[in-house]
Amino acid sequence: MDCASYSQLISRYLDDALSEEERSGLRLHLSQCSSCRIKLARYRRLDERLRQMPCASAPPDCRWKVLDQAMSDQQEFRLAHRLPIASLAMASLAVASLLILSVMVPLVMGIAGAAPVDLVPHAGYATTSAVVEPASTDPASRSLAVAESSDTAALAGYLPPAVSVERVALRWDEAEDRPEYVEVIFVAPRGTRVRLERSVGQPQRAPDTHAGWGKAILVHGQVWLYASQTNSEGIQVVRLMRSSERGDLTSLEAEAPVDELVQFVDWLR
Amino acid sequence: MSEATASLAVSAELTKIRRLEALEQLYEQFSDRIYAHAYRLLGNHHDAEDVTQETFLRAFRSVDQLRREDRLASWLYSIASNLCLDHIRRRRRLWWLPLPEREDSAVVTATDGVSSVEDNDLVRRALRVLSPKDALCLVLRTAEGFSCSEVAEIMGCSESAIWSRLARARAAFAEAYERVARDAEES
Repeated sequence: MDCASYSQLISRYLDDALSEEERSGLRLHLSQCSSCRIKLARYRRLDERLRQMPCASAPPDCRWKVLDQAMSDQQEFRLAHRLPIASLAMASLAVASLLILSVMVPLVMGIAGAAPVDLVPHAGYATTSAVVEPASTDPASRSLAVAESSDTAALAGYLPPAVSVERVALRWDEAEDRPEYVEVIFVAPRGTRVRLERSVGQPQRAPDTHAGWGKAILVHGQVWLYASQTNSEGIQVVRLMRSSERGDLTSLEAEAPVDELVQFVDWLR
Repeated sequence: MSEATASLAVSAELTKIRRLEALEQLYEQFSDRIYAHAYRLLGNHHDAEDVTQETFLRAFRSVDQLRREDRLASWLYSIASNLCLDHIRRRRRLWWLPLPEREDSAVVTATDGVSSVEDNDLVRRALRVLSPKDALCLVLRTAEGFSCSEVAEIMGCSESAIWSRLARARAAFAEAYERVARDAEES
């Protein structure tokens, strides 16, 4: 066997995957070949280096996003928000709602970190009511009273004082040589990050991707963020989040198919 | 609706809640490991978060496919690893401008005190040189500490195929690491 063949055995030696015979053969070779000894030492060192790669922890709001989406999957979110589910009789609906609320209330309270926030204007930034213009059928061109800009300074004027814009980035489609998404990351005081993406041009997405478009809107002086996403069933939905008085943006308030957007904004008011 | 149908509806709601509780427990137990795994492979907090979320949602939606509970970790890693591979493939077509990844992110990052930020960057850059599957195989075996048979289960291939892949990955990683370290020194 030459050194190249021993290279395979050196790797398997580190994985403790050699037979006794192979192990003895390798040991004998290592005693005679300095370059293979160096290779073994180098592989060992790099394995150790890979083991020492930093361990990052999942951000706190990731948990809520997962549970939230799971609940949406089960249609429970609609139930908790009194949207009609015609298939259940009133008796079973009442029991089921109680059971679900026992899960939902601590969850929502946990997300907001406080009691539900009253819709009162924040001091320090303008108050503007949302204006719904649902005339266009193209979700990307729907227009509310929005803060939409690639300029973080311009966006900041529309956010509560405690919320900042971390970055505005452009995702570039190299193959098509054109911008594909604009991404905006908002940061709340406790470090919570909310990422919104808006497609530029023709959105082409797999059904399970995170991509969507998002806007910041002002409703009764509070910042609401809404983003469209395509859920796992391929249905485009709108997700609404609002800032708490402390600027916490993680509170997901509702989710509905795009066509129900108008109803949701009415519900907000 | 008859009483029996109403009872079934309530029972279905109870099942849903139990499933949510199970998801929460699963998340508690594995979220940090899955997130760290995705972060090691993707080197980006936002993509790692996307993969973590999607992993648990897919697990939630397809829990019926889990045959043995003792294979829970392998099953989750398998889902997460496939999602990471998808991300890497997509990344070949798309790239972000500008994307300075911040090491001081709000996400708590624990280091062992040995590896510097610069050195971690070298490791990530060297891993990127490998084929995505070779990089995945090497990370599962070394950083995650799975045995070869567990790596084989996660990647859906034989143990002997993993041995070959690891030998190839170690050789490629050693070469790539030396090259990126040399380039970093020169620049």
